[in-house]
Amino acid sequence: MDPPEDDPDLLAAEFSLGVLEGGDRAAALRQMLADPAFARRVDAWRERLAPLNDLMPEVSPPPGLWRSIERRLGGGDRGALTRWRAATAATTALAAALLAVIALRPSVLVTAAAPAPQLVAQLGAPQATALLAVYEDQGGNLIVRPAVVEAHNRDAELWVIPKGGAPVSLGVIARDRPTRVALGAHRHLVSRDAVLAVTLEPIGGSPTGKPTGPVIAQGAISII
Amino acid sequence: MHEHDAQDWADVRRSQLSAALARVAAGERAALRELYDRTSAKLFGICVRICADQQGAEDVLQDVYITIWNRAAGFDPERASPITWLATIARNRAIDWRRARQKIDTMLPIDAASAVADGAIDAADRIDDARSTARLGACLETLDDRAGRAIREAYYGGFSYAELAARDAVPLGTMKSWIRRGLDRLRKCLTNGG
Repeated sequence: MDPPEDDPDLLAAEFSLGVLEGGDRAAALRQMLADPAFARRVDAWRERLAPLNDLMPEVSPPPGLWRSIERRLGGGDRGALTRWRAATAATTALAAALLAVIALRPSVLVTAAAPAPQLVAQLGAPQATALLAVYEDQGGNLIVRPAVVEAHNRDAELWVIPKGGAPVSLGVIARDRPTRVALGAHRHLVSRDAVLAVTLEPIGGSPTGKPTGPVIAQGAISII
Repeated sequence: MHEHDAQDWADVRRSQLSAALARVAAGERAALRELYDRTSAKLFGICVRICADQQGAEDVLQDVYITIWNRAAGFDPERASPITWLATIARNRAIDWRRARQKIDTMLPIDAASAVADGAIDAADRIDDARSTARLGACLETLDDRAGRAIREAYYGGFSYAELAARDAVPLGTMKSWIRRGLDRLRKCLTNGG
């Protein structure tokens, strides 16, 4: 007998197996971003099927391939973060990992309550993740962790761009530490279809209320 | 090697990969290199298998490590094991590449998927977690032949329902039904402990 059409766990299995395509695949992907319970099912199926990876023969990539990756990454470590870490003496991998974890799971650590779905955007510069934004459901704050924000005599300003709408300023963010941005009346704008962006503006923020400087990072919002 | 030694070894590897990923998330280039040295043969194997094209697989592998560099901060060791997370990125990138090209004529012949699956079972030294591999293998064996083969082919080849149906010359609905029943059975087998 066929299993029921609407079994979410089987949808997660089909999605993990990779057999869905087109609209079905897109719908499953959307559900994964919107529904943490479904995302956990997908994770579970990926783990279940993962042993099949061990049965695929390993193949050594050609010797020059790492060089190509390095070229695409540009020079050095992710600049500003390295300098920031040096400045704060947080030079161990442990401290760096801790920073990532705190940035990723603020409501777990801050409230110890069951984590609500967290909206996140990884704001990528062309070469790297430049900023990570995490939504704290309690309090309606957005925590923005800068990684690569370097500019002299300029401020970094955070914007939310609603689907089909114009950028709305969420204020100036610190360039050297995570900033908690109170969304207030803009809370409803920070949703899954929106984009977050950071521009460089004159000190104090854009004088016009619209972005005037270069976009240094932007990313779509998703839920982890 | 005793089973518990293999398990310990898998745990050590897992924590080493998680630590490297945390350092990648912090922007450390050397950590990405370490990750590349440890995992590129495995991930390239996945890309080669799914892309069925050497140059394509090389391009995809580059994208995979760029993606890892950009998204390492999103890795959560409580949600996924690091190697599964990495392999998922490789699989998805390779599948995207294949679907974008849609060059049916370069696909491997239908027997290649099962040949890879059967032949590689001897390579026990590559198997990190022998117990879960054996268990999945045993559960796959309990499926209807057609379902088991279709699921393996889908996984190894990155094929969609439509491609699988075309390769087996059966209606799309038939292929969906085989695979969905197979996954349902697989789930019961895995959650019932064997």
